[in-house]
Amino acid sequence: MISNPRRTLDRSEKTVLWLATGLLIVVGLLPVLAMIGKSFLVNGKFSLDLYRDFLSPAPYRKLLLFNSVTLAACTATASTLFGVPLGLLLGKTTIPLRGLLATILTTPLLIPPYILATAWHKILGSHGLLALWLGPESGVLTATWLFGLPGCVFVLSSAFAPIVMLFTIVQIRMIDPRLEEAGRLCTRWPATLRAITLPLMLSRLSLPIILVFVLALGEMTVPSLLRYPVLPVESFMQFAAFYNFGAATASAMPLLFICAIILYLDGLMVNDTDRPIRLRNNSVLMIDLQVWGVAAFIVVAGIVVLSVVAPFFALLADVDSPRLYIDAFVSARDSIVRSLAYATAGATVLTLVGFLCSYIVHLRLSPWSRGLDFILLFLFSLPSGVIAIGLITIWNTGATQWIYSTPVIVLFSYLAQYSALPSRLSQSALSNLPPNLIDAAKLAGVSWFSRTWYILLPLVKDALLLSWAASFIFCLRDVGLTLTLHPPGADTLPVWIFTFMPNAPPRLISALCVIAVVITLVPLGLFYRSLRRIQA
Amino acid sequence: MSRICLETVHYTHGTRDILRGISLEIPHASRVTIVGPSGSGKTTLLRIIAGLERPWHGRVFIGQRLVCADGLNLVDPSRRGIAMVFQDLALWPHFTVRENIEFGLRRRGLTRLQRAVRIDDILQRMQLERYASVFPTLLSGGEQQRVAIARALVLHPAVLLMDEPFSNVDKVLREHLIRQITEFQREYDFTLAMVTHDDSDAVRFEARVIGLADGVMIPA
Repeated sequence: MISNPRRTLDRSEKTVLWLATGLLIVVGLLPVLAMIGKSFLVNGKFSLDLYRDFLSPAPYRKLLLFNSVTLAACTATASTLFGVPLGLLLGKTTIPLRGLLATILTTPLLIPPYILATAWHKILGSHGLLALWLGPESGVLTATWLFGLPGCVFVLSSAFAPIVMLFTIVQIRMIDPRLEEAGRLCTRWPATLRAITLPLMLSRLSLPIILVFVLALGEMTVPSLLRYPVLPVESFMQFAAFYNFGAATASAMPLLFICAIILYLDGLMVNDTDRPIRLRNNSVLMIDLQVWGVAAFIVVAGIVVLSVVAPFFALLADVDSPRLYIDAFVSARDSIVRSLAYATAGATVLTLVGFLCSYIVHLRLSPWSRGLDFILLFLFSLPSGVIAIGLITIWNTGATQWIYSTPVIVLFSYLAQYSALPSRLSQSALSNLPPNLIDAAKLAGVSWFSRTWYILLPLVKDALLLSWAASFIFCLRDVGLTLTLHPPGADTLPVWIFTFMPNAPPRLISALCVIAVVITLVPLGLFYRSLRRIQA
Repeated sequence: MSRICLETVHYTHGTRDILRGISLEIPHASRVTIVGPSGSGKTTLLRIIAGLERPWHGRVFIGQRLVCADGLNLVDPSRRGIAMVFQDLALWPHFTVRENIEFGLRRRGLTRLQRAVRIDDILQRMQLERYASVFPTLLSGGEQQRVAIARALVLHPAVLLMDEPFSNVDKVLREHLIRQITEFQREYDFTLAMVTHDDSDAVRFEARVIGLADGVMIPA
């Protein structure tokens, strides 16, 4: 598709695109700007107190900032160290059952990370399974390790490493096999991988690494469960426990600045002259592992057992009676329904707005298209606490209670935070369309709606379905936004489990965690099956 | 000696037979052009010789070495002494022109000085000196084509395979490249197999012509 900043737009095209941009600005950018604006006010008067505190923070806040950045950096590093080799093994080699292994390894990404933390607590806690098998001393040792930075990094990297792994697999598919074949005529696979495959791929890996960094930076649930003090927990505590809006904002502001700086630096590194690596072939040149295939399978299967099977087994083992599942289901029935309803509505709106944003960004319909792309990424990278506080700043007024006191505010928060996801997926589909496809229909006098409905949407429908599924997962597993913004009595299952956790019997919590996993995997499984049927 | 010999080579893709029992001998230091309509299996034949595809049945010899037999590659593509010019050129976009040409040489254990001499020579012969430090994506189609040919010739291969090597170049440049390749062949005695759509290439190369249609050899 040809990008053209001087492209002429018809009226309906302009209206719809302005509406999509406007909606995103109102629900996403404006709240963050309002929060920044409010940070200059103390007791209704202009003040720089917050920024003085920000520039020379109190020792405790310094520690929180240090912990937050350390946790994010360690998680991003560990996720990269595991995700890239796994992606290479599963996407580039003939390892047996690679599709199945990749699917299982992706599971932790689909569920809220605190469920993994809960499961690992069942294994490594002072009274966990390991202590049961190896004695109480080992339980104390593993619990000391789990409750702190190593435990948080371990849990978060097992949740986020699939992002790097999946991105690596996608990047491998983007590399033209001819480039590697040309290398294979000169040298063997290890040198070809080192000199050709990896350099072509690694330049594009900054996005998932940054994504893992910002997700870990904004993560609140795992550090709060594993008692590792970080800024997002502090921000949420100040807001929820003390209703100290100023302190909550003060804790959120450093996170906002860190995200802005990281995105800016990434923007400097990636530019328009980025080299094309896909020439024309769509296949992947696989490395035949031959006898090493079994050894590689054993290693990856070991990682699967350690990172996915063991925690889920621990949860299942903790629920000693089927009755507990019934009790858990009955107690959380309404939250389950709401979870699915919010996620379905959120995914639908996100797919629509994301597609329209991708249309603006990809076709460069205006000089601010790149700005819109930056806003989308910036909002996506912000910790959920920042977005939530921003939305409260702007929507918690007498005149807007019809939005603030209803689930619409939760949908707004999903739209604000997650629009980058469907937008990026749609952009990649649009970039694969032949040039001038839309212009041909335009010259034939076809209206914008007809062009979109009859030409564009059928051609990008796979990407839209994928966008919907990805948005559904992110909405369903969300805790940070929904926890802060849900109207009274209208929580979701992940929020309900998280708030119920300190006071409920641990076995009931385990049963609820299993249900949370099931309600994520079953709809996705059904969706995947219907998709295959449609495609067949 | 770099004779190429194929014995009853059969290649299937899905349910389609791409090559059906091809037997062929290309003598050492000779020139062969393979012609035929699209989808007749010309490129697959070159890729099997290079070791980039494995035939279902049949044997392939390079020189006296059996490199492939009944679905198994016995010699790795990088050990066959083959260089190839791909139809889509396959220039590594993250390497400069010089680095593209040097990559294969580094793997041949040549000293830095030996490499530099060879690279400077080929750059000069292909009129690419001023593009040495340029990335290939910034070059025109014809210039990229010359880089791809230079990258193959610099290795002094035993066998040179070329898949539509002159598709992006004008008549003058085509004559120049054919002259250079012929000169190189005289110097280094390699066997040349080329896929082409243009019969006149075969005439210019004074090459033997092999016809392929529907996966079988036909009189050209």
